[in-house]
Amino acid sequence: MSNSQTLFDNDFMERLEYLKLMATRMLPSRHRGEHRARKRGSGIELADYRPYVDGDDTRDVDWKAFLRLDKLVLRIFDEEADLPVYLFVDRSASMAFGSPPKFDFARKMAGALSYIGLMNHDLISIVWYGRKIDGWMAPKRGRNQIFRAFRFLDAGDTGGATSLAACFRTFFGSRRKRGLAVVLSDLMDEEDLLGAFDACRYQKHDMFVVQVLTPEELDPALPDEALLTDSEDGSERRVRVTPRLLDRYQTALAEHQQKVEEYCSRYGFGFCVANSGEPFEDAVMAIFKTDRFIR
Amino acid sequence: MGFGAAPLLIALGVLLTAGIIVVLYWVRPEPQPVVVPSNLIWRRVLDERRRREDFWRWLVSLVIALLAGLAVILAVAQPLPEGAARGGRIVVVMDTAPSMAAALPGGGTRWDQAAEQVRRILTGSSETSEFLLLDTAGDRGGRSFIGRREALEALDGLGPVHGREHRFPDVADLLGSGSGAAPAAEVIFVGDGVYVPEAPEGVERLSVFESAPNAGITAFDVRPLPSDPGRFEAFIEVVRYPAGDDDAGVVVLQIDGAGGASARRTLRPDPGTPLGETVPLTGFVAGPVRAVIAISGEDGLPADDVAHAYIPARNRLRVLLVGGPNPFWEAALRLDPRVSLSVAAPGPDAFADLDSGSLDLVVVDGPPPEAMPAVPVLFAGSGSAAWLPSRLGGEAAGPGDEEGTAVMLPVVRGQAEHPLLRDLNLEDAMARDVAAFDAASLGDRSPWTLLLGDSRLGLLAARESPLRSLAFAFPIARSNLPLQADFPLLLSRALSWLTDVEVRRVGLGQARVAMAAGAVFDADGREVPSRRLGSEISFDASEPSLYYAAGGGREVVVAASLLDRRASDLNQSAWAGEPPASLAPAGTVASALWPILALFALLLIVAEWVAFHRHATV
Repeated sequence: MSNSQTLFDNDFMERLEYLKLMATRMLPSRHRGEHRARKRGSGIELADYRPYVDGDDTRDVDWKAFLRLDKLVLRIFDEEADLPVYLFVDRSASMAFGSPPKFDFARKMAGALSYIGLMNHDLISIVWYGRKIDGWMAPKRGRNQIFRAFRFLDAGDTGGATSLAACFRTFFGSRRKRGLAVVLSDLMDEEDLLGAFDACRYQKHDMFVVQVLTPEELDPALPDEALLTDSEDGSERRVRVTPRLLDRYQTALAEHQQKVEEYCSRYGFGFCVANSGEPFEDAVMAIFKTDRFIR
Repeated sequence: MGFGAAPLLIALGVLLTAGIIVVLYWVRPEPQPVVVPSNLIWRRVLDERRRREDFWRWLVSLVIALLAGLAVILAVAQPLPEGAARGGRIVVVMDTAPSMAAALPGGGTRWDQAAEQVRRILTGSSETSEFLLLDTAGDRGGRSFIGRREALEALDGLGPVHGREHRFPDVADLLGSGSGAAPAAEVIFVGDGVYVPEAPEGVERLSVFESAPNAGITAFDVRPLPSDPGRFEAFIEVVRYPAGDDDAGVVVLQIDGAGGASARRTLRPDPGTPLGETVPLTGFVAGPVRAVIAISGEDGLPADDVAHAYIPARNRLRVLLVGGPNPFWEAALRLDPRVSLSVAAPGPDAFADLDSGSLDLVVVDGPPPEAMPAVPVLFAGSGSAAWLPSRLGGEAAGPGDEEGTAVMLPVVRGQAEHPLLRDLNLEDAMARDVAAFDAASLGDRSPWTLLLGDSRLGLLAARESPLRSLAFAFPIARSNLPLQADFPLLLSRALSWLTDVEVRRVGLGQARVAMAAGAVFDADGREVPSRRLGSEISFDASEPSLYYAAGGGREVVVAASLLDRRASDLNQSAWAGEPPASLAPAGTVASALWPILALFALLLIVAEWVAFHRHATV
């Protein structure tokens, strides 16, 4: 990625204005943090029920419902609190691919989300991660922090491998205020991806996962005989590309996404796939439209 | 299963095939390098794919490669199908009897057929087979197992052998079992069943017998007329073995001599019955005589259609008589018109300067010379010498009365057909003052052969080498031999026998002549390879002809003719009722199939290529 020219130019700003308008309609306007997690909060307003899973606080179990249904059901209350938004942007080598690069796409999304969040007086924190946390911007609030966030994002670069689990263990190993963790990554993580999500979940954080993929990753166009070299670890795999193989690739990718999606759905997290070949604002709007991101 | 090709060739084929398979993978296009963000998904796809499809694709690819390789190897190695190939240790016994030279109606000879059989057995066997090639003559085969190529070379050196006893060799002994147990080798006997009718149990017999018409000369001799040693007649015996009813039964005999002399006869021998015929050789001069017979149809054995003999020359004889005044000897010798006589008194100087250039014969009527003269000797004197037969003691000579004991002169058994004695009547012959030779000392180890006498008393002895000689054990004058009616004939024969060129009749095969050293020439004057065997020289007389052996001042004419009634009876086979063995297929099945196998391999390679590009194989 070239740093000589900022990602957040006038064109980007114009698109942010459009996003702000759209977000204003979709998000409730309050001076406190606008985001309400689907976690049990300190409030008393019952928001929803969901099945009990291991690790849930048994104090929230609806015992009357258990007596009627013979099933453990958890009561979910809205927490009317000022929740911070943690933007985890994957800066591994794999994010440098695509046109535009997935990294640029992710940074624009992070910029857009930061802009909207800061405009809504949310606490916004941005984290670079690869195999570890490579840098982060401490939580900021207020509109005047927008350009600080942009500068931080503009300064990012790609390289190295990915380990979201190591990153989450490090980041959430410290005492963090419970909030919303937004992961912007291609999720090409060899390590235990769901284990990483668990680390976040155990800390009672809400989470939204955005998988950024290039059009080539979604629909590969390869020569008949290809020697695939992994950009992160340099491993090589020889493939003879056939339509059937490509079908299997699509299936495997879908299974990979489905696994993440099932996990997120199971625990009330959000998940969406962003095509880096499409306008980033469409991806942002798609995020807003999911009921997992905005409550 | 064996292989027709050489191990080195098979190894080369394997290497070639391995090379082809390696090249098949080398020639495939190199994959195009593509850097992807992550191999995570691809790894999962490929791992899954490897678990499922790749196994089958790999299997198909492997099967195709193996089939292609196998086809190439088979094409090169030429496998021998079970049953068509022989392997292990193979003993081949070739019938080399004279009857194997019989010409077959379809062309070639029985030997040609047998050799082709064996050649196909050798070439059709596996490369690792070992062969022991034996013949029924017993001395021309091998003694140890050899490879195929050596066996083929040894086969080329074999052929029908004349003049030998033919029998099935003791294969078990040669293989080392010695106990009569089944030899640890396959034994094949190829023959016609004429000379060797039976083979031991367990021996595979391949018959090349096919009946063939034949007429042959079974006896031929040229001999002087009893009444006139200067004239000759030929005795010939002819036998005919027709193969069918269309035989005319006519045998045409032609006898040719030196100077264009010839005699012709038309004979009608009964089938299988020898017919003797005496033909006066009127007008024939000294030299070779050849008898040839011909029949109207095909003749199975050309070797017995020709026979040779020799008429010795009748030149003037220069004879030296050494002895005291002896009117009897002088008169007897001068009566022979061929003799030119000179007389010398006995003494040390009498035998000086004797050589074959100035003298043909010396007659000794007195003490013998100490050394054997360089010319033939007719000894009828007294006394002893080292070169003469040893004599018995004085008491054996007879009683000591005034007249002396009369001793009869019986012909020693077996010598009645000697050229000197044949058809002579000596029943009343007797002698006095006999100083008899020791008959017991004459025999195998002595050059002298007893002609007259008994088992104790030797009265007349003859020797062949180095020069012919005759020795009487009594003075001629002290016997009634000169009074016998056949004495002039005996004396004439003695002069002829002592001075004529020596003629030996031999059968075909290896001929031996008692001659310490010398050379052998054929009828055209070309020297024939010969070798010394003790006091004899041996040479190959496989073809009917006249040979001349010369050496040490002697010349021996060797008339080589088959003259074998058993050999001429070509159809007297114990296997006559059996069909001849069919020839084994030439080469191997696989050798004929190698182009197909090679094409199959090529098709598989093309199929692999196409399948690879269609991603059906890896």
